[in-house]
Amino acid sequence: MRIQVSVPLLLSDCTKGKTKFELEARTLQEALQLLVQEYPLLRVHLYTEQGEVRKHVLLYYNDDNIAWLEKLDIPLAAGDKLRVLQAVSGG
Amino acid sequence: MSVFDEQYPSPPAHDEDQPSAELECFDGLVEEDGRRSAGASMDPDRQRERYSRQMLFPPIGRSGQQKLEAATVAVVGMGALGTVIANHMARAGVGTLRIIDRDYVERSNLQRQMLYDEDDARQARPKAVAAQRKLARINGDVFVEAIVSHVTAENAEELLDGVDLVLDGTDNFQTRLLLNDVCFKRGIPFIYGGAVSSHGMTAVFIPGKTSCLRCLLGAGDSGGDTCDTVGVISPIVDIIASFQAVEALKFIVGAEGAQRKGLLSLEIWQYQSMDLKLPPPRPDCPTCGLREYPSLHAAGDGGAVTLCGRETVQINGKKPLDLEQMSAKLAPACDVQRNPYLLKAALPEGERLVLFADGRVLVQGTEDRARAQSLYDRYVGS
Repeated sequence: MRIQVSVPLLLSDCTKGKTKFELEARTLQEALQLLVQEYPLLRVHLYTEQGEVRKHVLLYYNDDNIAWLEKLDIPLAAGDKLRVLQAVSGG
Repeated sequence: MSVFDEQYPSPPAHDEDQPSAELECFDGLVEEDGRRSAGASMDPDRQRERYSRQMLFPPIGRSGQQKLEAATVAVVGMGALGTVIANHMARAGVGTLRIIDRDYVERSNLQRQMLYDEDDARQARPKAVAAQRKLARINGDVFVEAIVSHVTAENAEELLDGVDLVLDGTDNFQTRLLLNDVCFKRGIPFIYGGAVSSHGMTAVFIPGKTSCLRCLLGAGDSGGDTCDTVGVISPIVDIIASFQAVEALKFIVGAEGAQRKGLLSLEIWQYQSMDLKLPPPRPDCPTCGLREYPSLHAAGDGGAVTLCGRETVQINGKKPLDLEQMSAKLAPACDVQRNPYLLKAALPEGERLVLFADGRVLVQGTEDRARAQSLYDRYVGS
């Protein structure tokens, strides 16, 4: 299923300058794996060395942060959105 | 004297760089410079004129204006966000404004920190003091408490005692999580804001009604880009701070139904706007679920702390410093500049020290904590 992905402008140097693009995946889990396979420079910004999502990184699947989901093995529907955000610290 | 002078008394006359006669110490420095006694009511005719456009706005009206006048609001961090927020709060007629900041004004702040000017940077005025001076000129009816202090687990509850609302103008998650803990422990709404580069975020956290910042971030007290590492453009700061300010107005006038409930994320260069759901309150959240408030019980952050991206180490001395005495001590060896709030010393080794009366010392020109501590011991004394 083709879904829409967005990343912050600050990370667009890891995604060939794009802040919005599409990914083809069957489940949310597969989409998350594909994201860092296709854009490997993203991995260090999103995950710790132990593979956990970094604390200031928020990954939203449609309206839900994936941290609140019980499972990631969710079938995707056309038009679903995966949004990568970084909690903003500056002030 | 003009008619306007009669109607609106001038701000208090300041002897340049001399603290006001009402100066008092409070875990750092507090200069109380309000134009009226706390709790005094403004003349109704003056109130009608000054706030007429705001009072014509039905959700505020006369009763909302009175609530604003009775409110006490804290703005923690008087950098880019904090100055915009404080400006809105003062112009809106919030009765008491408590502004808290540990830093002093530098030229690199002037691009976006809208209450400061070149003179503040030249004089290296503490931001809280410089902001208070400006706010007194903007609205002399607002009682402004300026506190020059680093917010710590030890002093946070005292610094926020008695406030109705806390507005976030800080630049790091460690302090935000500490504010979040104090607010949820004491039942005070906390309005988060952050801005960096061309991107900003804001959300409203209300004890007993919403989840808290820790539910969103976990223990995420590190990481994330800062203005000092990736820069920031001023419009995003104004936009995010203004979103924080409008939520503050809604809370103060009791417009609960209008309160924004999501996490707003804005990127203004290529324009991307998202209004995302906040997490549901987590029963196992150490702050709003278990009520353990871990940031309030964290080990003191005494000792040396590297300020991210600023080539500066902050050393939190245990005792207040007598700046006059330190000036005399350092003058033979260093190039020393002093104002009533801080002392700068250019060391022969190349680094610079900035000493504050509350005991903090910034060692500029190094990120090596051991070297900073060594210079501190050598020149300030252990």
